[in-house]
Amino acid sequence: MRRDLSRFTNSILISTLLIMSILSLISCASIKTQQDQYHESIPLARDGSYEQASIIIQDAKEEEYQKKDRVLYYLDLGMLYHWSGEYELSNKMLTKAENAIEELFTSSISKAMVSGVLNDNALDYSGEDYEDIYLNVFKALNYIALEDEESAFVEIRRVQIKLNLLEDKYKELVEEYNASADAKGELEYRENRFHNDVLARYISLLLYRAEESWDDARIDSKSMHDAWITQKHLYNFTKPSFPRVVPGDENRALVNIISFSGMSPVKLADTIYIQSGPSIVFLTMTGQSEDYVTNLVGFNFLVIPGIQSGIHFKVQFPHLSSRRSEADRVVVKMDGVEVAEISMLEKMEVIARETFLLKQPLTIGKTIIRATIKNITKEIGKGAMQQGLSDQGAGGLIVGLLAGLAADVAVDATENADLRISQFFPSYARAAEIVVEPGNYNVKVEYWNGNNLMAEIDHGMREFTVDGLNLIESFMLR
Amino acid sequence: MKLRILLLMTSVVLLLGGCATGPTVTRTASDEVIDLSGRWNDTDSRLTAETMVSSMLSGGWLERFISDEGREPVVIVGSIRNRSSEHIDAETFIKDIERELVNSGRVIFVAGGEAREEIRDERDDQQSNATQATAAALAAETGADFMMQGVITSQTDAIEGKRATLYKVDMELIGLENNQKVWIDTKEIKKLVEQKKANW
Repeated sequence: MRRDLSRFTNSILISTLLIMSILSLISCASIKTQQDQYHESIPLARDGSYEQASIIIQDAKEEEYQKKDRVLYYLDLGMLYHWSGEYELSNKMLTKAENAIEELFTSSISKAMVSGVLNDNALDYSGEDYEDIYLNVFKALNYIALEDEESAFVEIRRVQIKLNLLEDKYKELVEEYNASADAKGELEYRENRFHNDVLARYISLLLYRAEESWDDARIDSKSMHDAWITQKHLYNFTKPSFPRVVPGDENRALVNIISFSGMSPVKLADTIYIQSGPSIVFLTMTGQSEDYVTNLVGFNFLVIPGIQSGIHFKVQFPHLSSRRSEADRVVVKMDGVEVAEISMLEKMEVIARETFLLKQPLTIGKTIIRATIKNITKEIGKGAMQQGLSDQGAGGLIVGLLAGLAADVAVDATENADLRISQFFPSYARAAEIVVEPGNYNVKVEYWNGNNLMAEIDHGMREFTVDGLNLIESFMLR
Repeated sequence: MKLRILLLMTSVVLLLGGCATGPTVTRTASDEVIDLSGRWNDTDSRLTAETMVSSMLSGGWLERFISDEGREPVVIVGSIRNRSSEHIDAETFIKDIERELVNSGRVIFVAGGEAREEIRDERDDQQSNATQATAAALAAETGADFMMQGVITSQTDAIEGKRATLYKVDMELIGLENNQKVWIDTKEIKKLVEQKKANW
């Protein structure tokens, strides 16, 4: 009898050790989002040290970024190169990101549905839709800086194609999943409400106007006006004045300033724990703060007569948290004189949220399905094991409880939300048009928070001409 | 003992050899059609150039010109604008057109763009550095009668994992003296790319 108990106990301990070993063998990055590379690089980027931030990101290749995170690496580095004025390198990285996103999208989503053992962190990151759209906007700005307007046009056209594809992207996937024989639950999809991007239209308008394609410029202007009517949920602020789309005074130069501020949203984890006692179920919900500190959000319990104690269940999924911008007013000065306040053109974080929500039913749906299968399998295993051990007396009962606890810990460790998201896109885009006499001007852009001047970005002496594009891009990621 | 040594040596060889393999390279004919991504490629450029030049040379304008002027027309290739949603190397396309034009033997083709600038620089340089007998004469270029211009556009549509892209190449030949358009043609290429289906 004692020998039987010892053998059984040993087998349980070996099984537990095996589970722990497998978990330790699976690299941490496979079950949890790696964010160490951001601890230094984000503050550096906020302070305008973009080159230093990009060095940290480059150094993190292979360790914090694995092959499955390559889209994230290309996006992070591509954006930092953009901010540091390395436009060709930025285009190279953002193009790699774009190609990988296209290649990975379908396969990643399909794999995610069946990745029963681990979680989405183990899969290739295929990018958020807003990342896929804005990377073309920044590539367009890179090409403008490189004086290759034709290539900038290509990028802007790609934005519109992607917006058209977004229309049915998730609807098709959800329908395919629901119709498949392997579907383990019915998923729902959310209607797309983002069809027309004002920032991309703004750049398009400037490009068309620079080559005197007035009709095309007018179409862009009309689309921008329409956004305030058809997409009020995205453009719910005062409409700025748009660039002129009729030939103007031949002796004046039109100067356009696009200003970016703040940083794009991050993903934080929401966790729900379900723990049962004798005829009672405890529900605990925790959420991450912007500093990645986990806080208790809510606690409740349900009395359910007859429910067994010892059931443990964890579900974790991501939510999008805005990082906003501290700058509430941005002004442009020419030769030391304030000439315009730059008006809000697009709240990029709102677009990010809108596109994130398109995917969210799919993310939550697959998380719940996967966590349920995982936890039910675990509970069945625990039940069988504890039943077997309880027959061996008090000692067996204790070993059974310990092994059950180990199984709970092991399964909990694999259930983590995929918090991967690029970190260096901005939060807000502002724009202004200023009419000046042609000539050279010293241009400065000031970022204000109330009465405090946060930053003064000196764009140096710039020559503004009657013809062509006089575009200044200014940014401050706070 | 021998077996142990043999095993040890095998292990060392395997470890040193590693498992990395180099890329596999297969040579193919340059005119073989290879579609990897479904995007505009060298085959599209070549086929479009062939079709366009063939269409242009079979147009009635050529016979009329030869009959009126008693000589072959002189043609220059101007800009081919990319208005598509892909980064198309217009230079490759222009070279394909130039090759077809020259090889046709039915028109006289003159260099334009950067090549012309380089030749002019060299000619200027010869005036001070080459002997009078060998220096190329100034102001003796062959003036073009017509300029060929074009634009590439594209439309993309996608549904149910399939992406269709329609490339449209519009080209025209314009008389330099009178701005008359003597030939216009359009070539369309439609490509259907099927995305990998989600395998549930």
